[in-house]
Amino acid sequence: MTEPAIWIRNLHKSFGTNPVLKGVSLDIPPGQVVCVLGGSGSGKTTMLRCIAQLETAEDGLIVMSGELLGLRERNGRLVPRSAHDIARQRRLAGMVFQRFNLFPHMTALENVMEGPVRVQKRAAAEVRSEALELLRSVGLEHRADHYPAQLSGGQQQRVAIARALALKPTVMLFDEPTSALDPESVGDVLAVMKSVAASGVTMLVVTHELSFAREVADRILFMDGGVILEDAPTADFFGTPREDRTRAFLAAVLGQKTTA
Amino acid sequence: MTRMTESSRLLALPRGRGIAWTQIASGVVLLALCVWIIHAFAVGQIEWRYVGQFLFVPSILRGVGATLLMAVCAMALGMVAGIVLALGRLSTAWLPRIVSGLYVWLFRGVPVILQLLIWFNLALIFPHVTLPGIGSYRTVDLMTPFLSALFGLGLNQAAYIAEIFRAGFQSVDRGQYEAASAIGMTRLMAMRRIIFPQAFRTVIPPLGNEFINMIKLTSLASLIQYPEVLHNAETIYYANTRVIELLIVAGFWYLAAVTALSPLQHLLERRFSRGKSS
Ligand SMILES: Nc1ncnc2c1ncn2[C@@H]1O[C@H](COP(=O)(O)OP(=O)(O)O)[C@@H](O)[C@H]1O
Ligand SMILES: [Mg+2]
Repeated sequence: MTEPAIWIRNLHKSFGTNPVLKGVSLDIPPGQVVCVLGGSGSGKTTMLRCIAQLETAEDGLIVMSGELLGLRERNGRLVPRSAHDIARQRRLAGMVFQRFNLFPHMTALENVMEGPVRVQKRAAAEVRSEALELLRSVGLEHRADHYPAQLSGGQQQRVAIARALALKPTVMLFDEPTSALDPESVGDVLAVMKSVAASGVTMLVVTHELSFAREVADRILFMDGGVILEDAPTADFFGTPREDRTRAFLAAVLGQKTTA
Repeated sequence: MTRMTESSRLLALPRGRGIAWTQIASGVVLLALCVWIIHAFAVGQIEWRYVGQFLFVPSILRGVGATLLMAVCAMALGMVAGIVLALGRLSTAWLPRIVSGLYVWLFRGVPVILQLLIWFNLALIFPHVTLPGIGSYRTVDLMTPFLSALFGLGLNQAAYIAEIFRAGFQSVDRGQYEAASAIGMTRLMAMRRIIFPQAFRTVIPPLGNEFINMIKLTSLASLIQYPEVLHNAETIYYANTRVIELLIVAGFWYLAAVTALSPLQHLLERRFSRGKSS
């Protein structure tokens, strides 16, 4: 049995008195593409942010590529890792945000090179050719010297994907990567994500694009009220959803799509 | 029908320009006022040849140098301390937040001139200072006019710069910090590479204003015997009684310094506006 790319047990996270994750457990084998569906406020973003270590869970464990995230064992106890160690661990996963979050004072190329050059301290010349290759693979080599403000939303998001890939993460996390985009650019971004999926990177994608999920995902998670309510292979999930809540959600989303 | 033809007639009329009577009237009044003031200065008890004569004497030029030196040093101290204070103010820990808050409250609440005098007279409170590993000194020897002015002006400036940088840091989107973290940056590197350059472009205009204020504020140091341009001008007019002439000389140099600064500020603004949508 190969080691899972992501292993989560009993994850709990609240904001103040508001419990948002109420015991999430999950195994994702390497190379699997998993889409996360669920209503607004069900905790999808929070789960992703915990995996990316942008939030710290109060309880539960996450292991990625054999490393326990955020904690280490000392004298028979689990204690927090140093800030430096956590920064290193964050590179295990690449994160793509809903609002792109490109660095506005850097060109597309500089955005992609920033991590490898500054964080990994790799030689700029070598990184540069890799970064240009990445920009080519997202269809933006001709925009390498443009600043984010000079790019459309879809182009910015594709640069953001290239930026995350530049660190060669074993896992890619996407948080509604197309919900802030105009309809024309959604397709370009989804096409890039499809090619990332085909390259064998493990992917966890929060999305409302059901057709993308159907076509690309190996497996679908449905989150509701801070837990994973349903977890099934893609065909089964859409073909024979088990839970009433899932059926209601699918009906609502699909109904919206057909009336729109 | 007649209404229609009347409107069509209007359509054919050419456009003329209105006359802005209020602007003309106020322009005339202002011009008269300027002429009167210039005339008053020209015929008044001002010997203009003295102004020209003292504009470039060595003691005045040395004063100009000292003014600029103090402005630059005090501003540098204010920037370093101000940035530290701003980071403290935005810290998630309560101790740095409280300390920074108290500092800003104290230094903004007390007149600068008073702060200068306190630094200058520090010996009255602490007659001796011991610098660990260096030795013990008499405070009177240590608090020269230069150091007193530097601390007085710089540490007061820090309180204002802290507020400017706090607003600057807060203007940077939270997502920027998260994106920096996500690519594995430590907090320090994220600050240096991502947050700081973006905060800087919002703080440059107010910082420019602070520097201009600082150049003028250094004139207060004349009160504690720091030989800046106003102090040296005063020294000269105590001897020759050409008071107004020498004050005009000093005024000329402040004005020149402040004027020379504007292009520099524009240059900096351009340098840090990389990637800003325009
Ligand atoms: N930083 C935060 N502070 C307080 N509450 C938050 C924060 N982030 C998310 N929440 C709350 O957590 C709940 C789940 O949010 P989220 O994980 O973003 O859901 P989803 O992505 O599924 O829409 C929401 O009720 C939201 O208000
Ligand atoms: Mg969300």
